Amino acid sequence: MFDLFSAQNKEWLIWAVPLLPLVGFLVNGAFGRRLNVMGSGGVASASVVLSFVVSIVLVGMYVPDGAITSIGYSWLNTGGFSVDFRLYADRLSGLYMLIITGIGSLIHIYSIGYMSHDEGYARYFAYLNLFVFSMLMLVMGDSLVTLFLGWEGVGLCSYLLIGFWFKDKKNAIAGKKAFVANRIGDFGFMIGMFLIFWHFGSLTYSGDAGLIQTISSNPELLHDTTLLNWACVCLFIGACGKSAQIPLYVWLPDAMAGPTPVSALIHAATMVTAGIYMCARMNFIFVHADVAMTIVAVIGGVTALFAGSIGLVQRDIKKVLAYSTVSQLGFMFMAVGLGAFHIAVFHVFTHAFFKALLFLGSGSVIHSLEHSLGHGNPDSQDMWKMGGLKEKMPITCYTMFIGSLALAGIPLFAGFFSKDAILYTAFHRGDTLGWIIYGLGVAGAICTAFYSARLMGLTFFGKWRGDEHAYAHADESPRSMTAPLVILAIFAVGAGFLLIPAAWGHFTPFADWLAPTWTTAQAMLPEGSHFKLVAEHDAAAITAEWINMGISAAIATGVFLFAFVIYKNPANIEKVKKLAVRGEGDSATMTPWFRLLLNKYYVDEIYEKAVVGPVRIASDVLFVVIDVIVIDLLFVNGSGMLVKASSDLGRRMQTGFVRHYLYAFAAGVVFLSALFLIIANQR
Amino acid sequence: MLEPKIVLFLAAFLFSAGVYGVLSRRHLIMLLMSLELMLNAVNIVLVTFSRVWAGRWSGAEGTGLIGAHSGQFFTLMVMAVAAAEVGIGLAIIVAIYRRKHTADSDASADLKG
Repeated sequence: MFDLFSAQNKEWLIWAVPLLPLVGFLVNGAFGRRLNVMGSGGVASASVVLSFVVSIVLVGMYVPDGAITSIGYSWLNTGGFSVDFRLYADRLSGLYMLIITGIGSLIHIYSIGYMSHDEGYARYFAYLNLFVFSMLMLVMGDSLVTLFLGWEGVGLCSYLLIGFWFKDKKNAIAGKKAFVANRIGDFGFMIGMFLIFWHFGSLTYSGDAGLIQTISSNPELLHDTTLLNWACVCLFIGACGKSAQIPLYVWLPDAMAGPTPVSALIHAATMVTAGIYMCARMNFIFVHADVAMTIVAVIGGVTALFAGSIGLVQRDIKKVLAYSTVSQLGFMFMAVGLGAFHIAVFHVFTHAFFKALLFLGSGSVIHSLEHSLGHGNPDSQDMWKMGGLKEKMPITCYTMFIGSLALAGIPLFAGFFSKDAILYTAFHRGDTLGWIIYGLGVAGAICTAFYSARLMGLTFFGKWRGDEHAYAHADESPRSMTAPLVILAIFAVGAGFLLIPAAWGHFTPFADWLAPTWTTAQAMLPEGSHFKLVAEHDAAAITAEWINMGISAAIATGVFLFAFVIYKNPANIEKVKKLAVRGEGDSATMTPWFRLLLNKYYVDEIYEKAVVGPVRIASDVLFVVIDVIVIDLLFVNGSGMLVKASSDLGRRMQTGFVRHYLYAFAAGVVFLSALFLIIANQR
Repeated sequence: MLEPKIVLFLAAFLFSAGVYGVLSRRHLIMLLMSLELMLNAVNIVLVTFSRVWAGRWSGAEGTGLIGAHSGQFFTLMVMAVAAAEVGIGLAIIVAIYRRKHTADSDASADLKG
């Protein structure tokens, strides 16, 4: 019997994974307007679900035996630089494939319900499919160049979807901001690529000419740590742009202007974790760049705390989640910087579930309120004008509660295991850097627990504080929207059990699955390196593990309960207003600290003054001097006027009188004859 | 035998007269006539050289009737072409006259730049 999924077909099947969403994009792009929302969304969802099925088969059956590579064609071939368009599915990219297509499927299905009242659904689903295709290219490409292709593709889709409702100018501006911030990062990323190519002579991962082979056979290339540090810092600048780290994080909160499922898929679960993927993919170079790793860890830690503290006071439900995402990405980079790539990827994995769940849940709330408040009404996202929605939307409430428990890091939920592993890596490291990172991480975790509880308390508990009419009409979302919430909630509980620390029995299938990804780096790790690339069962450290776990569990639970008690009861809010959070919902009595956080440390304003303003002035000067004077006046109009003036002279010669032409003709004959005679006589 | 030089002077005179006529006259028929004069001057040159070369080559090996007398054939050819040219030229002149009611070449200056 013909077996589609047999081993000899695996090199063909691997192409189906990215190409199915591309087909969905083409169908929706070309014919989507003729389909209704079910047809358009059905095509889009089916393509991603099929891609998910193929991914499961490939990752389940073939990837464990070794990476699958499949060459498409020779893409670039110029002198010493050649790049094949080749797909590469190893354990790391296989995991990402499952996250992208799996969560992508749920979000596509959810979107059918969410976008059912939007006339632009065909465009929406086309963009969403294009995004899934680009993201799969990013993780499945076999070189940094194909990664960059996907990297730019997801950036484009992100831009298009942030500005999806482009008729509102602020959405278009938010899209533009994301694009520009990512451009700055991409510049660094490209410099990093150039440096790596310059030094190693390759940008491909696998194969004889690939980076892994080059490094294994020429270990002396790794001695030039200065260059490696620069290359890794440059790559990390790219990751800062894509994964929203200080100083380039400013675009992500504004990216919430897009439809909420987009925020869930692109700006929480997948695209923003591309930076972590890239660092994990380049792990064999990063482990030799100590300075760059320190920078990564510190930036990650500072971002985790910085963004987390801003998230404490935001009133917009999606803004809280956006800053939370920036903060969690900071946690992931902390793990990367400490050399625990598998833990960083584990946090990507668990975070993808619970943050997608929280975004989809907030989308469910917004969708429900927009029915009566009208589309785009800011009140539909203002938590201060919500409350008591538990009665109206029980499924959304309970699934989101699970998500926020996971986010806060309450024991047994997914976020606990991954966040605890990150904190333990810092805790166990033992040097100054480790303690700094640990301090930042714990402070960030306190913020996380607080804003998770605040979000739940304000939105679903207590009394309704907004428009009575809206509350009366608020209702649970359709089943296509609640079903993904339930599935994600199951994973938000269960995903954490794939990496259980040694103190609890050392059950580490997740770390073992990824272990082959780090073999090259592990084999060439310098003497005395702090990096622990695989999960070790260290019996001596179990006490330390228990201490760390106790601290983080106590913090998470304590802070969560504290915040939840405050915010679930309106009477408590009034009491607490007088103390710590004076200014909550009331700007007249705001404390300076509260005002500082509410205005996001004035970073946007500082950037406006320090970067955007000077750039704008320089652009105006360049516009006037180069564009208006040199190009327009001198080159364009100047050459036109030159031609006109010279042809005005030439025009006079064309009198139209036959005899004038004849005079010229005769004069020419005389002239040529004379010339001929002179030359002939000189011979 | 008549000196070729004398005949060539005649041809040069006729040609110059033709050039002068073309340059100085404005009436189209006069232009055409002057043109004919130039063509005929050329014909005389061709015939003259044909004769000169026939004398030089007589007895030389490999020259037949055509080689020795090709100048005369050219002359016949030029006459035929000139006849055709006059036919077309006169037709154009008639057309111009019908349109402009004059045969003055200066009246047709429509291609002025």
